[in-house]
Amino acid sequence: MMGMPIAIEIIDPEGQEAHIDEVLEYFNYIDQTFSTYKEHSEISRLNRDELELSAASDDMKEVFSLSDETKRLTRGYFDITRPTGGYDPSGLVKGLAIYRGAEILRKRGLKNFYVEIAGDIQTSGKNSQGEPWRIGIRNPQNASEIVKIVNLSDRGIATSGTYVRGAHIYDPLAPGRALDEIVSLTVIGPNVYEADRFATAAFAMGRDGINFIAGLPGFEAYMIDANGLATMTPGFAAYAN
Amino acid sequence: MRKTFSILLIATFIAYAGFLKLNDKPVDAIPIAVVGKTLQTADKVDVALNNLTSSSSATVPQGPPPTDVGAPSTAAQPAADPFPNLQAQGKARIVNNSDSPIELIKTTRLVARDGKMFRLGANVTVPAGGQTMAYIYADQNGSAYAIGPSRFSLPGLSDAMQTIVYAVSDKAMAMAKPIAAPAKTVATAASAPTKPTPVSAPPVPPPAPAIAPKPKGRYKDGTYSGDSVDAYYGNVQVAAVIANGKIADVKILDYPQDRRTSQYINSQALPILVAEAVSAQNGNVDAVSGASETSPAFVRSLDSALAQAKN
Repeated sequence: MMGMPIAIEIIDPEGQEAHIDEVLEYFNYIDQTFSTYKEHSEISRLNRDELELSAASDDMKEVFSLSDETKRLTRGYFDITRPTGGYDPSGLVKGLAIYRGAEILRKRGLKNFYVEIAGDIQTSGKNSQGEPWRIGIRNPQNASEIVKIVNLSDRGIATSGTYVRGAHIYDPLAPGRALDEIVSLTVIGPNVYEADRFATAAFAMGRDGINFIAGLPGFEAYMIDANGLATMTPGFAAYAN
Repeated sequence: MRKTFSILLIATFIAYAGFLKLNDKPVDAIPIAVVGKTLQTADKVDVALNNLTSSSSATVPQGPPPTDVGAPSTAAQPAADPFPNLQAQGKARIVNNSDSPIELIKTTRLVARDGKMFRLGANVTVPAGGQTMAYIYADQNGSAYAIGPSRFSLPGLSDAMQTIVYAVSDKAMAMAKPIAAPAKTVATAASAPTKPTPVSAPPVPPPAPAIAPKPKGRYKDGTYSGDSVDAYYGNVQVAAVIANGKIADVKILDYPQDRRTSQYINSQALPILVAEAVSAQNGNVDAVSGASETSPAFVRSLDSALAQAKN
């Protein structure tokens, strides 16, 4: 979806292929609507001024409304306007889509599963061992290595960061500022929509991002800098081994 | 014998229950006294940043619980001032209920109800019927001046004016490095120079440097103020008290007090971040969270390659 890999695992014996298909269909719809890489998506047409927001779909309006709210909550650090013009709401759409995908499975009565798009994950219930889902945090400087393992049940986890030099996240309040001091920020929250939007904003704050998350009740974070030093919020350790 | 035994049992139970209650708190929470009381020390300190080594409960004296405001920790003698060389500083609203604007100069005196004197940190103009926020600092050093929210009178004004022009602080003062010696000559408000400087210049200077790291965890005895750090929701400043070469206590000098953060303060206390070196973990995982490897440039490049690859 939007060029990102999808993973869905269902533990419940009632789980069926059809359930997974339903979620994938939903993700395909999200892709068609919100992918800035699709020429004919609704967001692309909006960005070319072929469409006014007032005439856009309810889902598009909802995403813009949630983006406004997130921008306020993060003092402007979450901002879907691109420096080159137009909008890119993927920092919010991704988490929202995973969350809604998980809701589809819940509506079908499923309780033990996870839904993932490119490293952002919504967990529900327990894994195949009957334990909280074990989620590894990737080493930002070595993609084949895991540097932390957390145990999540009914939580969302999202990681913002840079692997490629030339960060794809910029500081909306200072577009020229290179964000290469912090290379990875992982946020655990009550669901992946919240974790994703705040991880996106917090990463744009640089070193202050960890303090922002520390100030949000119910959220924990793990920040890794370019020197391989990690900083975590006080409650994060409770999730780790 | 039996009586003694049951008393011992009860005492043990109470001690155990007390221990359980203490441990309900997160290990690294530092209870912050409600605004209006003087800052209290932590029951238990766990600090892992900025060269301060983690302290175990064995080395940290148990301070009084936050409800015991003013209770000395040792009954025999009054507690020594932990900050004899620091100055209480904070903000106050100057209220002007008269019908003309009032100009007050830097060092204008403000007196709290208990007689403690403070001074304005900068020139201030207060509009008629309005209020202006101003920085104030204690006339003398020491933590006796770390008073909670207070009302101040301005003794430099006439008695009549004093009833309608006064100052109010909504938050406790915080201890910091002194900014100015008490003024030797103080002009009255009437002879103030014409142009007041804006209040926005904070009088708090760069504080004392953070603790210098010592080899093998040894420190020099004394009290050291850390940097005042912008913690997003406000400034945070702590001081470390070193005794016998070890961390004996950590005092909170300043903490986020903005109205917006009241929920955060009530629910979580001052967050203490924990640092560690990243290291590879072995073990099975169900899934991996990492930054998306698909940066926009990457995707565009891939799309164009795929476009060429299409039949």
